[in-house]
Amino acid sequence: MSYIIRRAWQRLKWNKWISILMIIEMILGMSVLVYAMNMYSSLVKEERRRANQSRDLCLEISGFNEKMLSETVALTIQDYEKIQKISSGKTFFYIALPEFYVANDKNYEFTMILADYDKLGLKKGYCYWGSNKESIEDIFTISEMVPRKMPTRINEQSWKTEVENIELKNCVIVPVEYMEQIEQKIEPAYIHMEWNSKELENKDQMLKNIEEYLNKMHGEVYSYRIYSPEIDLKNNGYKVKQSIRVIMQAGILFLIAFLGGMISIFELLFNHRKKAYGISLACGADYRTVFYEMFAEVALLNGIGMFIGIGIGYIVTYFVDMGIMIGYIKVEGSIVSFIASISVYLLITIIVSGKSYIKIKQRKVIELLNGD
Amino acid sequence: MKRYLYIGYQTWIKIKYQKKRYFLYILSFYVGLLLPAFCLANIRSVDRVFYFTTFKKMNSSVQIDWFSEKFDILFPEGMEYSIKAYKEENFKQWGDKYVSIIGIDEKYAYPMPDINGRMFNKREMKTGAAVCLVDGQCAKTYSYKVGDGILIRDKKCKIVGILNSSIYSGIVIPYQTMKDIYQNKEKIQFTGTFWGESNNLEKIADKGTKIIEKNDPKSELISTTTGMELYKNALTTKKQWRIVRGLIAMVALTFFALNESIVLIEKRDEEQGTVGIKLALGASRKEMRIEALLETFWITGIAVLLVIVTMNPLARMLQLDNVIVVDGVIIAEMITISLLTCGILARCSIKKIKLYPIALMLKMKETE
Repeated sequence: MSYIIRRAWQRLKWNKWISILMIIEMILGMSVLVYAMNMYSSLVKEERRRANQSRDLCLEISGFNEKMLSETVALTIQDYEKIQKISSGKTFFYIALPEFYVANDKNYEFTMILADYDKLGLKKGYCYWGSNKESIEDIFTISEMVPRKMPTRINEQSWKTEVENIELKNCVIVPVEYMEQIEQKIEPAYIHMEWNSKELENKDQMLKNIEEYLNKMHGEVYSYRIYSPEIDLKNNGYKVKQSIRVIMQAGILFLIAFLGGMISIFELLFNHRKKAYGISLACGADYRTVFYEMFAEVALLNGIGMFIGIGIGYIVTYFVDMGIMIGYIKVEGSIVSFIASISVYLLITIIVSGKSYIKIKQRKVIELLNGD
Repeated sequence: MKRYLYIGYQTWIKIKYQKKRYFLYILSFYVGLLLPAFCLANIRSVDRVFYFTTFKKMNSSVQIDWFSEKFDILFPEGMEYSIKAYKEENFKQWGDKYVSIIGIDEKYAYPMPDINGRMFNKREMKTGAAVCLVDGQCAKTYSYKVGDGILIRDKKCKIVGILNSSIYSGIVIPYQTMKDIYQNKEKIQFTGTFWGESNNLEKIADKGTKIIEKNDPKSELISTTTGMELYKNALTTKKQWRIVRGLIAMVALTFFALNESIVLIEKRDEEQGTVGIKLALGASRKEMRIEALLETFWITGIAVLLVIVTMNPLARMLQLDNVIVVDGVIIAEMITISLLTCGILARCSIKKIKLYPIALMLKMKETE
């Protein structure tokens, strides 16, 4: 086997320029295909994540009156209480406030979560520190609250939003009533209000009432929209999927063109070696060995192109932003792309080597020796 | 002349005799020319996008975009303007699809695409009749035809036409109809296009902005852009798009040319013996070059024909029919580029004919 591989490598070196050309084409087609597949799988992954979320409705707050933005809060504790009444207690509400604290020449970063203690089953009068931030509890004191360790059942949770994943072990939880004291620090982006549509009765009317209430209270400065992140993504992702599909088809077309070129070129190359194969067969080599030789040569050529192409595809996935994907979706490499690339590589290799082998197999040894 | 016709006939006989082999060559040429063809057709579609995103007298216009709940804005008599309203509506009946609802007035600036049906008439525009135009994709997906009704919020609008263009996606209704549906219910995005003298546009923009704010103090101004700026942006986008797709087409064409030149050179090497015999019997090297050119021309010509014929069906199959345009210009470009490539390939394949003496060629084994 090692002899076959060395022979194949030698043959590739003899036809250096043809080999380089084939490798470059394979790299191009494979990298485009891998990139497109990685983007597609990242989008599909995000769609699945949103579809599996229990709280599937969110409140979006956007400020438009710049003059009054700094003077008016988007949501008060009274608004929250009213909304809980409208929704019969089915509203899940929290504020995630990023905190940055400097003490003893050290910088401390954590997230302060203002949440409804009744909903979380926590005792009032305490602030609860996540396991990763317990060291800060003596340095950063919250008035009228005794620091405590966060219960394990809450510490292990992570609350996913559209743009981030809040791990509670990196947070401190304080009562939602605390928001009255820090109203001016609370920006609309920190406010999270969510519902599970399956728990709501008269969902459409209830959501309409909440929107109307909020617009009535703060409509001069903010606009409110309750939406489903899953439906939003489905709609926003439609055009993105179209673009990804076009790129994928370009990659596939390139690989098909490469396959066509490769079949023609290898047919000619193997044609030139008819006599050599005839001599090998006449001297005792079997057809299986001849096939392995052909397969090894094609596989080696394709393999080099494939691995470099996959590598480039993954690098472009992680480090290059072509402006196609929706901003908040994290584009990651996928094992499916890798498996698909290997499958494409095997398919091309088997087709090219198989086709040439069939031609050799159909001829008698004497015909090969005569060069017929 | 008779000799050249004879050479052409000989080439045709040769192709017929080695049908299988030439079929593979044609297939390989066809596949290699597909990607550049799609890139060229995509470049052409950019021209179409450019056409639909620009309008006449654009350089003497200014556009103001704003959010408001009010549709009635009283601009002074002398002002030449057109207002468009835009809203993205969640169509639950279409599987929660966000559909663009565009409200246009009689002076709508942008060109309308071909309509399968009819455009709104003056009366419908003025009175806000319950009529609409639907884009072709939506009509196809949800099986709508002219005469059917679509529910937009609580208003049922009759489809009077279907838009044959991918530029317009969604539903187009008269401005007054949109006012009936959305007035004072929620914030709508408005685009006002104002025309005037080029040196007066800033004043017109200021005036327009003040009128909008006076009419609705709760309105939110988004942007003010001159028509010239919009035109330049559209032009820049068109150029960038053309460059990117042109580069892809060039790369694809280069690799195609390299692949096929290798194949053709190897093929010519095999035929050295036959070429040597022909030269020995009195054919000139020029005639051999013409024969090589004709052979490559036949293969390329058939492949290009196949590309042109199958492009639209393939595009429909791959759902790319809205991003490519196959018209006379594309066909002419494809034929020109293919002939040039064919010439280059033929030249590469006959290079060696010049180099070897006849005696050497006669010694080489040919496989024909």
